Amino acid sequence: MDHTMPTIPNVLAQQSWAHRLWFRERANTTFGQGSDDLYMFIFWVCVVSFVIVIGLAYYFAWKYRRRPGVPTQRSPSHNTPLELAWSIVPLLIMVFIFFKGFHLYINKLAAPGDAEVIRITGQRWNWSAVYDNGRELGPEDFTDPENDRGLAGNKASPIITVPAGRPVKFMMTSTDVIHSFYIPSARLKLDVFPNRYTSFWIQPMEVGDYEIFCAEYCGQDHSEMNAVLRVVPPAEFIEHKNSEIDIEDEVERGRYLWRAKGCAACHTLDGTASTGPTWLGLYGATRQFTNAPPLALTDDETFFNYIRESVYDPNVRIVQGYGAQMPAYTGAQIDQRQLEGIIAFIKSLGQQPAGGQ
Amino acid sequence: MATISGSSGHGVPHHGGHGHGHDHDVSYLHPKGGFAAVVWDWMTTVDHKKIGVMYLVAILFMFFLGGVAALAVRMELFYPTHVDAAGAVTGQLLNVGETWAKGNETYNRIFTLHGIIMVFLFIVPSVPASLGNFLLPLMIGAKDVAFPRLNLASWYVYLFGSVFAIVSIIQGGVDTGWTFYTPYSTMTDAQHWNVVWMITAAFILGFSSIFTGLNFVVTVHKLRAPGMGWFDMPLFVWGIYATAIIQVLATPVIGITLLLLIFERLFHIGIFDPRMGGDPVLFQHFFWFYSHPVVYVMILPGFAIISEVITTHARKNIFGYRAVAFSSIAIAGIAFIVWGHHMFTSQGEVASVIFSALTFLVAVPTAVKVFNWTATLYKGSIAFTTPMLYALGFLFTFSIGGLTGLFLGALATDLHLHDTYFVVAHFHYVMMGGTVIAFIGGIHHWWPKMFGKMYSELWAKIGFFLVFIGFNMTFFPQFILGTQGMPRRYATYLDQYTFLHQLSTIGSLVLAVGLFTHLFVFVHSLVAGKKAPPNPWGSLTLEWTHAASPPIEHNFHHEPLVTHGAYPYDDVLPAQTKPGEFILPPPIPGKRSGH
Repeated sequence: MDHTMPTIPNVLAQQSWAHRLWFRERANTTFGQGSDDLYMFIFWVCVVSFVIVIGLAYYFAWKYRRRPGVPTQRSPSHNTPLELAWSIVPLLIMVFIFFKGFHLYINKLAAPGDAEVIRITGQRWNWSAVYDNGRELGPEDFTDPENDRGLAGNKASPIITVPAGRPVKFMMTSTDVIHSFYIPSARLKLDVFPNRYTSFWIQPMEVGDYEIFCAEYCGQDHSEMNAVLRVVPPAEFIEHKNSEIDIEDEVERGRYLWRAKGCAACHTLDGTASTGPTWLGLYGATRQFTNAPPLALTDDETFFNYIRESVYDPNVRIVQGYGAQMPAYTGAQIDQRQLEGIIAFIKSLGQQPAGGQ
Repeated sequence: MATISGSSGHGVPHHGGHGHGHDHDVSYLHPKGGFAAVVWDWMTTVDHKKIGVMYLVAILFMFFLGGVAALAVRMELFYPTHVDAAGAVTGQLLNVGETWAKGNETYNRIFTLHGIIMVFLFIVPSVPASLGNFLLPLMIGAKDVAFPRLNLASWYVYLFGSVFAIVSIIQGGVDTGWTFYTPYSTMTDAQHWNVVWMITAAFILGFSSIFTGLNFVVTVHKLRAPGMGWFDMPLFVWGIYATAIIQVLATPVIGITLLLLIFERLFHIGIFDPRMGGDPVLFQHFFWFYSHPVVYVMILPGFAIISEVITTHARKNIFGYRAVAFSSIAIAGIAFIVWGHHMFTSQGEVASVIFSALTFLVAVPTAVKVFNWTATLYKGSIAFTTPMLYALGFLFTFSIGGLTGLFLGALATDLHLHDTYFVVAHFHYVMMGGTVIAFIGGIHHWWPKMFGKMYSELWAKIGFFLVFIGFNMTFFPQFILGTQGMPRRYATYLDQYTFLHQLSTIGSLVLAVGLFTHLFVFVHSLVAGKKAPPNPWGSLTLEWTHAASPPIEHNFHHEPLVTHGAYPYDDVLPAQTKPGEFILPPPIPGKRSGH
């Protein structure tokens, strides 16, 4: 298999008009292009057989259309050699398609040993990524929410950075329901499960930003569960992976974690209700619950404990008007330092006068 | 010289006289008393024809409901949803004055509604329960199905199941998708019972399906008219028979699976829920073990209709009768071992490779059927009636549906196309372009027999062209959308997909206008249609040659005696090819004619 990186003009020159019509753009990985070649092969098999069969049917229908006084002509009601031929020829073509599909499938899934491993976690409705040195996505690794591309919610999508021309393996799991990590430019997706890891690998050829979608229906904001695959030159990737992201300022750390840990998928900062209650003006407010007496979050101790409990054991108190949707986090997922950042961030989002609301 | 009719000397059947003659000569539609008496008569009838008509009405109503949900989905997708910096939402139809997130949720409930209604309430019962019920006994020369009371029970079980579905919809519907994938389906709406009601509905509807299937299997085995061997049966009967076998064997599996799902939700037993050591993929295996065979419950009756329509309106013996008959049985068999091709992105690699190989096997008998239908047209005498237009339209759309299955059966391309609009387009081309197109064609074909009235050919043809153009315009762009990476079940999408989505939505409106045209044609025919002769198409199967239009209550005056295969069109003497008049040459002793 040829692992060399084709140059851009070369790639464009290879793209047939039919491929451009169907895909618009070439795949950005070798095996993605291989599967496009298989796609186009199947496409032409389909076109040729469709034209032959439907062409013949419509030709017969017209040629032998009913005319007054012209009876049905006699013709054989079966023909064993013909029937065998039209069973065996398609079978042979299908054996070939099966084998090509099988071969490329194994190529797409079996990563080389030296691949860069990136761990991916799906959580309703957010993707998070961790590089092999433990670095998570940093504050800069999110798209600008102002740059609305048609997926509602003007939310910031995570940007997952990978090196061009190097094998990258994704180890994927989920914290709640089944998701599917789908990179259209690699012609590749695999389901992401809450009870095991799945993996595939890519070797992107050209630098640029590419889409990542969730392809397994996962509820309310399934269509907003997207991310960006940013392909950069290898040196830039190393630099990015090793850059420090620990944030000294507690409030800024909290704001970063709001996105990185997926809180942003359900909790807004502007007062609008989403899947979960907004974080605006929480400090100082009195909370009403469906399953517990109200709580006045007017002093630090109550407030800190309430936020702490809401992170690690969220269903003890369910805010009125909302369901028990929030997943429970463990200390390994959100540690003490991170929790304090989140508390400080929520506190900073405004304070109601005591006894307000 | 006449051999086609057992009841009359000249080959033309008696017409059951309306209002005169003996009581048992009266059409099954003849009212028995006043309004209340008629209602009671229909509600307690064990006549397969009346049950078939009641099923037809109920099923078409469900098709309407599912269609409304489909239009709502298409309208929502006309524009992508945008939210500006100030939080103002644009392009969201289903946003009922709340946040865009609530709009998403409404969308999710509506596409689930569309899927559940169309699968469980419409397309699974569609052809077998309506046309199958009406025609199967007529086609094999029987007075009724083997278990008429079980048949009525199946209709009431269908209604009972529908009530549960409606209760669930009134409570706000469900947002699980029609596939009920775990663990989402065991977690969502945790405070509510609507998911349980909906699963219960699907569970109950399964029994209706089993009753019908069981009835048909026994009917075909035991009630064929004297002289009708297995290979003298019309291919419609073969198709319905193969369908019935799948219904009986596969439906219990979904019943058990849905019960387990209810237990999982209510008692948290931990079969599918990973938090308790269960495996969500196990649910997918159980689910598709039923739901793949059921794809053939949906499409085999479509094939069955096409075989009848093409032979009749081309006035030609089917090419390769045995190949078409056996391919139905082969498809029914292979259907049980390809469920894993719905799970190429979720199951193990070895399983995927095996299921991919098996999947390509099922393509062969399906392709063989299309080749046989094409060859049947050769040297025929083709009348471009509405049913024939639908059959020719079926060849076009079903072939696209079948061929695009190759992209999905091949593992490498499926990893790209799985759960995208390519899959949506593919199964709509098979289900709607196959089954529904065949169903509409079939209703037109047997309409004169069922109701004793002709319909307006002109308006029916206008309806056909609207449906055909609208259908292709709706779903063909979705192949391109999927190829370009648009995932399914999305309430909104990237701007780059807008044009193709809009094309698709406009197509769906044309399609809706076409379907309403047909509704108009049917209503017009019932009110003002010309009286239908017993055999307007000049068909040679028993329901046309031996039964009145509409048939009398007990179908036939005398039990028909069958002396030939189903399609001996080549043996019909040229001079008598006027509609309704068929005289066969005497059979050669010891040799059957017709195939």
